[in-house]
Amino acid sequence: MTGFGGLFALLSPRTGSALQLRRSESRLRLDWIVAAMTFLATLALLGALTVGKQAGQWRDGLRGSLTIELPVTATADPQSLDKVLALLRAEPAVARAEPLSRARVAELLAPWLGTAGLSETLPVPQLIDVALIPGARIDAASLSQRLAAVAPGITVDDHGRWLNELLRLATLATLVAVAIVVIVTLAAVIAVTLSTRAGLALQQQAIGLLHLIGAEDRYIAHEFARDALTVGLRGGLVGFATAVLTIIGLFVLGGSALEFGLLPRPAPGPLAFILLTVVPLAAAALCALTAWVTVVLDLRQRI
Amino acid sequence: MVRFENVGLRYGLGPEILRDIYLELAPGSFHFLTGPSGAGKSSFLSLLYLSRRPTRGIVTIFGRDLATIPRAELPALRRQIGVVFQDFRLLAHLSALDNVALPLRVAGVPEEKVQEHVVELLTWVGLGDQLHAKPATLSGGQQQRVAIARAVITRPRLLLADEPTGNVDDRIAVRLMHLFEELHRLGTTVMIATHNPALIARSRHPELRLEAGSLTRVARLGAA
Repeated sequence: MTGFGGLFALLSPRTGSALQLRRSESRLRLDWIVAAMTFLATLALLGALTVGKQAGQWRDGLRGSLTIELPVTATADPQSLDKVLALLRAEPAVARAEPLSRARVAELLAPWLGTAGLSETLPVPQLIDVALIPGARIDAASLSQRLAAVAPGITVDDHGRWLNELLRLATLATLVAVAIVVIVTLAAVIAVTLSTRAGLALQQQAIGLLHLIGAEDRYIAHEFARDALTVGLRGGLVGFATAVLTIIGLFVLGGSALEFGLLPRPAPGPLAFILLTVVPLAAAALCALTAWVTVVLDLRQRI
Repeated sequence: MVRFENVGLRYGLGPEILRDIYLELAPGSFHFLTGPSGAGKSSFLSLLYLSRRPTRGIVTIFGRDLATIPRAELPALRRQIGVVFQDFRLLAHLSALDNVALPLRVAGVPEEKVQEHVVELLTWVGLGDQLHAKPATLSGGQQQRVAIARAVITRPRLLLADEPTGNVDDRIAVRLMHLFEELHRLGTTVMIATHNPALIARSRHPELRLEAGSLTRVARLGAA
């Protein structure tokens, strides 16, 4: 059984199947095992795809922006903000430089100072959001020096340190997701192998008869693989549907819990969902292939 | 067709079930195999239908030494051998039609031909009205006829039958023997293990007797 040809052959009905595999109790449970494995694998893969996509967006978003902080002492001079903005807007790499309103600053400080709003008397630094021309780079240290000449104490944050930590976290999350998929795959292979061996033991007499009337090992393996494909497809679709409903529920009900401050809310793209549809099919194919190999290896030891 | 040279068979470390067997079955021959229960008839037949290999000696079937035949080539040889087992070995979840069709389906015969041949043969053995009956609903004699139909459906070169008329009345027994004779006439080599002396007496074919693991040819007046 190789490639899609073998897979399609398994889907074609065989009249008067010699083995009665559906009656085995262990096989009935295999549906649920495959469903659980597919559920976990789908969530893990979606996590990996989302984090990967999000890390790229974070990287692009933050690398193309700067946050300038005008200290409270500098805001005393109403001219200093205009000077800083003029200097920034004159930079060839800068696409846009806008001061954040006091209301927006209050919004950003809300997690620490509450939502009641900022007291008029509370001094807060002036923040300037700078967007760079796509693909353009700017030397933050050099810019900082030039800005300090017009507004002493000014700081320029290109988010480099924070971004690196974020990307490291994203890579770690992706690795964990991949590890989960690998573990789930191995567990599924073990479950199908054990189930197939149980089936072989239960069908020993019928298999002996099939051999005596001239059945090749692949004929018998085909029977097991076809059954495993059906079971895998059923379990895979149930697990996949449950995972998709869980994801939808998470994004519908999760709401603001999925927001991360200035960062955009992570969301799996349509491509991720298309890729995920492969999961139940892969689960079914894995079940069929595992059953096939288990049977062939077992029968090879018999006369 | 079949040749045994100094063949012995034992299970594990137990005593030899078969010993010093010399035999040659010519193509198209017909033999009865007799002997008391426990004499080793079933073990002897199991060597012939390639279920096991001898522990010593040489068994040659269709010109191939059983000891050296690669496992992958056994199915093709087994398809040339029809076997009627004493316990029938019908698959309980399959109908009479599907049981008989099994050797053809295993061999990849197109389904329309399978149906045609199987229905014709089952009708011939008197089970035309039981095509879709499961073995559990058939009598012992009917099950035996299904087992015989399954063994002969591929027109095997070698037909082995272990007590094939043990559960049928005389009329059916004669009919089944006619079937074996017809296959024999068409060139099939036949060996029938039986306890039924009347069956042997009615024919002129030679008798091989297995006793305490040793095989002897029984001298018969006018044997073929």
